[in-house]
Amino acid sequence: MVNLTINGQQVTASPDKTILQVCHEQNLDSIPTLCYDEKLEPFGACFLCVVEVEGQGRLFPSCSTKVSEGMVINTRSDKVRRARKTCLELIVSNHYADCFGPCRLNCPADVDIQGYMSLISLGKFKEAVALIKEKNPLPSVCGRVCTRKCEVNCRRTLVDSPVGIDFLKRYVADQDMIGDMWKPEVKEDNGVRVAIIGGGPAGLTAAYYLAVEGYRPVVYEALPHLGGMLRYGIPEYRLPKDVLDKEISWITDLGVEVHTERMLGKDFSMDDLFDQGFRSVFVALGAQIGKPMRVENEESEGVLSGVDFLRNVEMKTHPDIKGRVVVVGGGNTAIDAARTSLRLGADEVILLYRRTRKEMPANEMEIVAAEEEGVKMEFLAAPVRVNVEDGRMKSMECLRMELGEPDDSGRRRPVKIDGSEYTLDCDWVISAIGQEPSLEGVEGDESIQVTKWKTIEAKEGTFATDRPGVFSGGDVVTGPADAIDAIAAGRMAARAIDKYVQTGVADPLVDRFESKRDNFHKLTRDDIPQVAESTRHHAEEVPVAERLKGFGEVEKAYDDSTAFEEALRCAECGCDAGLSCRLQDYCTEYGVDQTRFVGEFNRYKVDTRHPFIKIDSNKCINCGRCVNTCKDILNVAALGFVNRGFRTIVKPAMEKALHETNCVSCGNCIDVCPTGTLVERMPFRRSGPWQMDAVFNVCNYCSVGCNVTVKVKAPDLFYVVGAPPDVAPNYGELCVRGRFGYQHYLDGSRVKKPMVRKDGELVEVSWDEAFEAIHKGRQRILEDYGADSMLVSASPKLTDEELYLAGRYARTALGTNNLASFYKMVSGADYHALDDMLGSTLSSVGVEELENADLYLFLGGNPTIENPVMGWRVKRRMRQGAEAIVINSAEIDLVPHATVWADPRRGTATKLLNGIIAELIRTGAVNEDFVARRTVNYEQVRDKLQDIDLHEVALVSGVPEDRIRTMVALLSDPGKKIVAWYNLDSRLDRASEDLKALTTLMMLLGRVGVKGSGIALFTNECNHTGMTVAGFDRQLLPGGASIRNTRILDAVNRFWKHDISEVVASGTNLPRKIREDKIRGAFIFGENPAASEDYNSFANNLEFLVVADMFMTETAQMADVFLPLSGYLESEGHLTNWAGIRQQTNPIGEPSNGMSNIEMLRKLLEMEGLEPSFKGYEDLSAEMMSFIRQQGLEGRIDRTFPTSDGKAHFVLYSDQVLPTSAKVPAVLEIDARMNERMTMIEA
Amino acid sequence: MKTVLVGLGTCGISAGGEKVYQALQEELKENPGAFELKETGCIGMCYREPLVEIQDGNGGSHIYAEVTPERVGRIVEEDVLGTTIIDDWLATGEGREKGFFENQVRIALRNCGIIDPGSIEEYVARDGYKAATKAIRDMTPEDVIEEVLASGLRGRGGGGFPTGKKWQFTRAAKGDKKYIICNADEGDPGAFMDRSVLESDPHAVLEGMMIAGYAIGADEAYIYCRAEYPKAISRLRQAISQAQKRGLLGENILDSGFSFKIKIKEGAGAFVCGEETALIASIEGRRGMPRFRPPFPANSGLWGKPTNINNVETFANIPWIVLNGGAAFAAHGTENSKGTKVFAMAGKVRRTGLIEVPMGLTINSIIFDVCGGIMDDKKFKAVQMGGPSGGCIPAEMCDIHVDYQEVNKTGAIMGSGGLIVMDETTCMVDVAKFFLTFTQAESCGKCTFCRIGTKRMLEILERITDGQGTMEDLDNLEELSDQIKAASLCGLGQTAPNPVITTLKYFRDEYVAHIQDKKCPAHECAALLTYTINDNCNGCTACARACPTAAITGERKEMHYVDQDLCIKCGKCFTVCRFDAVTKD
Repeated sequence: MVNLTINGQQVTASPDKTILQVCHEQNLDSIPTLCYDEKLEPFGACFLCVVEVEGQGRLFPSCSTKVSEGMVINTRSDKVRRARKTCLELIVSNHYADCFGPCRLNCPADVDIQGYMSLISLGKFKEAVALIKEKNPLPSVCGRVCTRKCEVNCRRTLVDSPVGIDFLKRYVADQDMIGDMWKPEVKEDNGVRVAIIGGGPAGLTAAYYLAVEGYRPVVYEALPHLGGMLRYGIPEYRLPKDVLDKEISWITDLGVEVHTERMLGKDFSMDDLFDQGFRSVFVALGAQIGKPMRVENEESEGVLSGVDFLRNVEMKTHPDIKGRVVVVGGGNTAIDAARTSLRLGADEVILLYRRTRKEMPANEMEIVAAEEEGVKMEFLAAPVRVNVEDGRMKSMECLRMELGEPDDSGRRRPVKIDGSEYTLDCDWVISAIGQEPSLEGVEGDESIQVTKWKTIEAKEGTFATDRPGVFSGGDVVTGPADAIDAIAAGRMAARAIDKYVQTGVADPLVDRFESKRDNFHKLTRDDIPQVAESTRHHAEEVPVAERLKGFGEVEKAYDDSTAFEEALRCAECGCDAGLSCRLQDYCTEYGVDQTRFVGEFNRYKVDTRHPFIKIDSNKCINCGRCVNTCKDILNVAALGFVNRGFRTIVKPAMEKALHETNCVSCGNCIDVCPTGTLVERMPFRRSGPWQMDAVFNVCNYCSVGCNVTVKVKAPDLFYVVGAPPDVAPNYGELCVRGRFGYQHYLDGSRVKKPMVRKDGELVEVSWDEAFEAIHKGRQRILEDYGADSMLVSASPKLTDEELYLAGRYARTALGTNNLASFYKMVSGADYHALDDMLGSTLSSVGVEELENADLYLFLGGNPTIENPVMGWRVKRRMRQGAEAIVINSAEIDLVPHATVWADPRRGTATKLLNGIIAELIRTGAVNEDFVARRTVNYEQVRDKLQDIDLHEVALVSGVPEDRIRTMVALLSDPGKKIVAWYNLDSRLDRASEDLKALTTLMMLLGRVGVKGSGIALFTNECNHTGMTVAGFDRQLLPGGASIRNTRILDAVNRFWKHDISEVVASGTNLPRKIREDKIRGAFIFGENPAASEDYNSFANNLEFLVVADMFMTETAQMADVFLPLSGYLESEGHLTNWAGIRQQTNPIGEPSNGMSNIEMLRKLLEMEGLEPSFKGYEDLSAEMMSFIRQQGLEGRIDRTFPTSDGKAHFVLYSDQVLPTSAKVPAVLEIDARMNERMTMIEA
Repeated sequence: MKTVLVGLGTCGISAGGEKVYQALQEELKENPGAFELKETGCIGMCYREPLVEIQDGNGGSHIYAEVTPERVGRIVEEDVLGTTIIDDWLATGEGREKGFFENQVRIALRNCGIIDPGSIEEYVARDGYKAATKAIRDMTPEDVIEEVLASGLRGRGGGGFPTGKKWQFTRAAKGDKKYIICNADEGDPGAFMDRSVLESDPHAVLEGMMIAGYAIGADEAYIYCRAEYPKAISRLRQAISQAQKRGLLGENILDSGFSFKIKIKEGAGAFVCGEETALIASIEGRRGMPRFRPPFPANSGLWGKPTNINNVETFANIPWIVLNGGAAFAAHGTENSKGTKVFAMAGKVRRTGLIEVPMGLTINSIIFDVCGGIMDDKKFKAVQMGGPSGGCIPAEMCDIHVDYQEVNKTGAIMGSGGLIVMDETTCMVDVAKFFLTFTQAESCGKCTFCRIGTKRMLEILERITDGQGTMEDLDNLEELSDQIKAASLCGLGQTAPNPVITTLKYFRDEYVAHIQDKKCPAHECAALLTYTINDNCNGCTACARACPTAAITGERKEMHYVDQDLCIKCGKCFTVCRFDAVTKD
């Protein structure tokens, strides 16, 4: 250990550790890094992790620099921070990519538009609404009245016309209003009351987000109803009040207290609120006073203010509008006043605007609608005086204008034309030239600053006023702006208030860093070649004549198909890693400016040729993690660096397409990529990105039992990434099946409804009808042929609990012991090979032993193909120095790393092993003590084997004698921990009884049932061990006990309230029964024997067939009753891996077939009058566990052997050499769909 | 009988030496047995190649310079077959090259240009392999290291690490297998010391490696040589095979039990592969990318085994040191820089070529005494030492002694021996740009600062020479320089900003002139030049005819005029004008 100082703190650490490791492990500082990966040797490329070491001029990459005695390290000095900032600025100066699309960046409320576009296109409306409401709780309102900065900036404008974002927002929000509206999760009530003054969009939004955070917001509104300008400023024909009401009450229903007709300054004061115990006040008064025109006689009768007019219309207190109306102004209020006047009965409406149409601040769409409806526009004219006659206005004196130089707003300033006065006769004048806040009630409060524009002064980012606890936002701060601006302010103010209440300080939100392609150059059509042209869909509008009859809504919503199509027009500008990009996070943290060093930048074509992996090199930062992961963890090296200098980039080897390299498609590069360069090609039409729930789960492909993280948006919208890097057995790594295998669950071909054959056709029926049909069918077969004519098969992919129940169903409801896995029968392997020797055919080591062995002995199989993740791990161990003997006639991937490769002729491995055993006996390498204490029957094996002539073995096997002696020498070292690896399912190189020979060898070396050494038994399918544990086997009982174990049998009988003693004794050769057509009825759970050569006619010969599957397989097509299985990701249960570890699966949602497999099996039992002893899954699992405990075996042989006498038994076995022409064992393709996809890679 | 030697290093060949050699062969056919014709390596006067040396057989010799095939006849007739030395064609006669050899001390280059590099006999005749024999037979490995330590020899590749110490470390490192690597990946622009040694005296390098192998306990060695040096590689192959045949390489050398074999690994010419760890990666078949040190190669090098890496010149010195004693070597030089140093002279100096001088000479002395001063008697402005990792030393400071510490103080480095001389017509911003262009293109691309930082610095320099620079750019240059130096993994990145830093330090006003006055004081940056025609113009129309954009107009015999809007500043007019009528400003 060494002593050093880090940031002034005394630290003791091991000198093997780097500065970064010490800082992270001892929580001294979260040093940023992009290239460091705890599983790899430090690469030292990004230099983001630099720190200062006292006395050294240089900065040191903390990821590569080891700590040493007396070091004084500063990880946060100015120099360090500056270097890191520059580093990031350099990186992003060549990071030609968009974090988010311009739509989102230009949305004042930062709504994830691309995210909800993609959800709409996938039909996920609730999810889309939920996503919108993360930032904007008023989508129905905004969907109608928003000024659409998103659309104005939509990249599609470079191609054709913007996506109809606002139409789509309205569409989903309206959809959501049909039936129960989506509801947010509300945090527990924290009892803190916050007053909100003003019930407009800002106030309502703040109330919503405060309520969600657990606050008790109380809204004070001066007018009779909530809504502010949304209600009193926007006419009904644009925003129907029932829509507004619905959205408002959805907010207030979350527990928002509302007091209407309570006005600040009149009915209460700010001090009152604090006296009442409010911890904070949000002032959102809006800007609702119409600005005067400042012309003579403005106050006379017949002259109205636009905002007052619209409010009065809403409150039905407006004057009777007739004749000619002149509206002054060019904004939305002016247009609203003009169109409302028409609807109220004005004969003619003239809109007077001092600039031209081009400069009008009103929405283009509103202007067009007004024109359509007949509003006349008089441009370049301004009022100078109201002419009064008989105490009422009569006409207006106007002046012509012309445009001069641009003003501050960038618009050309209107200049009076002298002598151009003219008179405009009219009956009403409505002035709508702008609004300002009404600050009564605030102006008296000296602690709140007011600007010269009569707005409240609030700090940017925190919305805090000078008075502690008082926050303000919306129009009252900004002056009149759009609803979406007020909504944005409301949400951010709520955040600031929350911070203030929690911490006493309102710190501003840090500006999120955004990488923008626009920062590099002005984009043109050519920069988005992937976007094909398509026409924007417009929402239908009510015909003009119809409109003017009243205040009905003018604009209609999209219909469903239009919505889907329009949502698909989204160009997906944002990055796939937009929500999980470490580069972006760091850039935000360090306040990075992307434009500081922008110069030349590299551009690449996005490579989508690989079936699963998308490479967008524009985003690559050369951190090398993918390269090093591929090279050092997988030993594949499909990726590498090419070119030099500024052009250096990561590319597939030899400039090939990735799928044409030796890439194994494991996708581990995706997990390590800190940016969005390497991402998965999702199986969905659109892939978000979205924030997703992470569900920890287990892979169900092979017996390794890798942990996976399932990222879930919806039960049919999910994907798989690696589990955290510290979790055994796979430590975050996955193979192609584990990572991408899920895709076939989503290919749309799943069958989710039960079916029964009627008139030769399978037709969908209810579950009950299906169960009834099963009951009858079963009855018939039992009556006609007896229980022994029944068969139940199950897939080694089912969970322990499902297999347990399937076995129970067979042995009780059917009374048969014909339990089978077609997969096992087809494979022909001896899954009971070690029952007589060790008491069970299970592994005797776990991950820890496998990872720490000194010598590996691989017999047959091909670990890196069959059980890749575990295979890669031992291969890495071998590269790091572990010794290995590979006995395999094929030059498998492990061979180059092995100490010895023995390649016996096919089928002679047992002979070879016997030769090794003989030599071990002769050289005295036998562990006499172990043999004496822990085994029986050694002598008979010794007598049979010890005289075997090595020369003869060499002749038969083709393995030279000296190589055999080398192996013997390696195995003879008593200090070595030895692990033997054997795959039961492997088709590669099987010899008769080779597993017995291997076990014999391990036994006489004393390397079974001891610490550190043993036999690792793998299978290609995930739950072989579970099948044993569940007792789904003719020779086994639950818990994996032998059927001869009367103690367990009694327990089973007791539990099941059914005597199966006779049933379990009835097991005979099942394949023969099948061949001889003795089987007349079958229940097949998740298997497809019709696809195998041996059993393709099996289903044809049956009289009654029940198939339970997720897909309409060849076998299922022949079923009399089809039951849809739930997926393993939808059910609770356990999968038991090769090392005997029972791992719980975690459902990602309800079974989409409507019933879990456990429930289905329970119903099947109940149909036959059997009362299951369990209530729910928990009970069932406990019940199973009790058998496992009684047997004392958790799917793995540990220290003692589960034999009758607790000892290992040497047995005699055959070493017959199979003829070389013997066919390779067949296999029943369970993962046919998956494999089909895999072969695409090679195609 | 007289011997005729033709210099056929790469310098000689490119100057036409092979044609001269062929002409001499023809002469020999005409007069069979009249003289002996041999080839040799580089003698150092590269600027006067092809060189032909005539040895009179009595120990006397003289060299003809700039020999052409046409001159061969007369040389053979009058000198080789006759007795007349053609004074006018001599390279060294009558003070013309006074000081060139007199001021040199040749240890590493002791055989260059003297022996036939293709002949091990000639090497042996000049005490070749005596040192190795002495080491293996009479010395313990520790003795050898002691001798090297006593010599004070420091790594000549640029790092300047004491060679003896390095050997000690590698010898002390645990490991049953150790390697020697000769770094022959000479990559500095303008540097050709190693190439010349390999081409002219390959056995010296092999012998040096052998001694090193014996000293540290290595039995295997690699020479990592860039493929752009085909001549050097073929010389090495030939030398290795000769040494093997003589039992000087291979198993059980001289019955001592010591075995040593040398392999050649051809590099693809990546500059970064001169860096130790990148070089090792390249030999191992990986991409030449440096890694963090420690561990140093002395402990974990090639294939993870202890490895000693020295460069060509270092190894070439070793046999001499072992044979003559470390003290003899240490007798040359200064307190902390012993012995001699080879320099490749380039740029605006009169005598460009290869020299070897004792440490401690002043730079001025090298330029003016050894190399004859500045070409065309222009004003001496600066030298650039150490290649792209080095820096510029202004003329005013060139009275410093060639010594590791003194050179470092200026911000330049000793480097591997590239020495580029600049005169008043050299733009210092352009010099910085030149070197940065090189390092930028040669960065392995691993470290952010080196990969992108140097690119951005280069862009700033380009802006400045284009007249688009701002004073803020200078701040950015300085900040980036500091950070790239501070935060790069290997020497390439850590030193890449040096040319910028030193030029900014000593020639800041030139940068400022580019930025503020939009002028290039050296009149080199095209974008900042204005070509005008002055009163000297007599209307000859040469400029107008030469102008590619028709920017020059004017009647014959009338004064001409340059339309600045059309002028692309190519300088053709300036070149063609015979009356000094074009002003470049």
